Amino acid sequence: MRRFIYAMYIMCCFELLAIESVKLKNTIRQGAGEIDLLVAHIADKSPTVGDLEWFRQDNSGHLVFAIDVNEAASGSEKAQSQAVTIKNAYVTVVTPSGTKQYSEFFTPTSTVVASDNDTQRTLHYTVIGDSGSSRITGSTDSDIYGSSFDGTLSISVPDDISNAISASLTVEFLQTNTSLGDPEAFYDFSGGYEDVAILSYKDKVYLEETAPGVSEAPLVVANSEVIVTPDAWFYYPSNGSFFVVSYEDSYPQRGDYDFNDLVVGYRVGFGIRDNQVISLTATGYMIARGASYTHDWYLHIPFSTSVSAIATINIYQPGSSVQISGYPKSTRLSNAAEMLVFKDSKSLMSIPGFEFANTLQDAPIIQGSKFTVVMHFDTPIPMASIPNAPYDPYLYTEVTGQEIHLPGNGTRLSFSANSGNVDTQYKDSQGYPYALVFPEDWLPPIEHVDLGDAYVKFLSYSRGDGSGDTSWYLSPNAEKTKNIGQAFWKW
Amino acid sequence: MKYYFVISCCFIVVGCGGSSQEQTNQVNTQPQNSVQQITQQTAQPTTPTSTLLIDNLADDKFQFSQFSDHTLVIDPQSYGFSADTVFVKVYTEDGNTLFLGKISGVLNLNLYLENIKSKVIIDMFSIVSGDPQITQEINL
Repeated sequence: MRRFIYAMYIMCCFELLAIESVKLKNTIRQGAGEIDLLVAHIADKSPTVGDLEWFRQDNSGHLVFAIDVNEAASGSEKAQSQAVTIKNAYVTVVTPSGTKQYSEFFTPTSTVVASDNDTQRTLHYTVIGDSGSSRITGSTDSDIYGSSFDGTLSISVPDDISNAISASLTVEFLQTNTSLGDPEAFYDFSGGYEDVAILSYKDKVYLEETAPGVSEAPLVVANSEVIVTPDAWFYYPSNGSFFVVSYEDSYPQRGDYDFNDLVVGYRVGFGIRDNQVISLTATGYMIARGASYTHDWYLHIPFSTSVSAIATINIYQPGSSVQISGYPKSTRLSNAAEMLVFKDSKSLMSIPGFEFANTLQDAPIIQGSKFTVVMHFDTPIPMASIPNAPYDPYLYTEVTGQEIHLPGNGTRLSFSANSGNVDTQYKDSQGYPYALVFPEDWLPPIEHVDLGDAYVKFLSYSRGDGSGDTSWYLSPNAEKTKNIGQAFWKW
Repeated sequence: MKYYFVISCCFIVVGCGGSSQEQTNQVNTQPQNSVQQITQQTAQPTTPTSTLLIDNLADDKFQFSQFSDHTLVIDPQSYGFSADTVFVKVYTEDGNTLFLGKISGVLNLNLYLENIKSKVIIDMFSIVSGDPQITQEINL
């Protein structure tokens, strides 16, 4: 009994003496860092060697660090998910009896990548994160609280280091062969810089359970049961390209066939685990708006079964990582994978002094808003329920109250003028649809220019008699299309 | 030499589908996703007088999709992998990834590619020492 009370006393003392995680002064730059463990970002917080020993004991014989991944977008890297690959990491401790290096390290995630100038892929530890998020830890005194620290790096230090004279962490990121695309491009490193913090056990657990950016990263090999990630990602049309959907918004009246009333680029990724869909991501941009009407644009992924999910949507201001007012927005989806993405297209994309955006011959071009959507499904969905691309991107025109879909899709909105309409073809008196999907190289026609005038090969292709040129959209009439290429709009 | 023989004998990646006409047929069986639908109008096609849509009626033979469906079946074990889990990447000639992940059996992959795409490339690799690393072009 006495021993038990003594043990409890020791534990309580340890808890009372708990030290909070500390952001260190040195950073990782250009993929390499030499981090002095006794110098904090804020001088008053600099750890003592006694503190280091406390951190080591708190983490059961390991020094654990957090890295704030800060990477330029490469491959499928994005604000919500980015990563680096660890080539080397070790702690050097100098004591009166000599210098020791501890080089046994691990992280919660790995991947299989080829290093620069190599094509042979091998397993490497990674650190994955996101950008701009505020971590909410248990203590506001922790430097992790309110920070954007991401993944962890643990180094085994089995020896007591309370008599250390100096201690440092050396980190080197792996330069991957980015010419191979993903996964190498995703797990590369750019200039950085990356901040580093030394972690208490509770903050280590917090960050590893939060696992920033992990759920959207490709080819994650989880080294922890805490992490549940997709085994694989299917991308449509691909992880680097977009569908471009364009509309005539005069439905049910015939339009002018310029197919530029609203132009949106989008792509969709399905995260698969154990042959079932567990998550979905979508990304896209407003490209052009050649309409007097304003619209709401929805993205509906028509799974063949009912789905429910937690969904988060981000809408970014053009060319910026800053979101528009009211975003990010999380919502619960109870029946369908469907979200209102762009509300009020006119307010989202306009050029002062011009009626339209990116469809007038002599007007300047502007970048449009960007969206990302992430859905995590409550119950995994059988892969057989994945619908065929290009899905159901649809428009609600506020003045007419009409929904406009790609042919074959029923109405979705209870409040639209054509709600419940049996006509799911959405074709005009000439037999043309009101919505078309093109590859991303397609350029929108100038205002009131017939699509067949902007692309003289379109009609012969569309006849489907085999005489058409499948690459018709690569030969626009330069004077009758708006030169807003994908390199510009997918900022 | 033996290695290449094994690869060629075990090559069972199958590319199928893809033509515009096939796309029309497929879409007709799955109308909820189609962008190629039979017009409900009674308009009759006429001899084209211009390239403008306004001057030409579209009949039910018209196609408006610039993409085609393809199916790939990939069985990594047929390539001599000893690993239970094999990493597979499927991508286009311009480097855009269509599929990236680890699989434990046969992968059935539905692709939806621009009509101008005629091939995809498959990488297969594992973390087991001695396993092959495959890069294979597949003509669609």
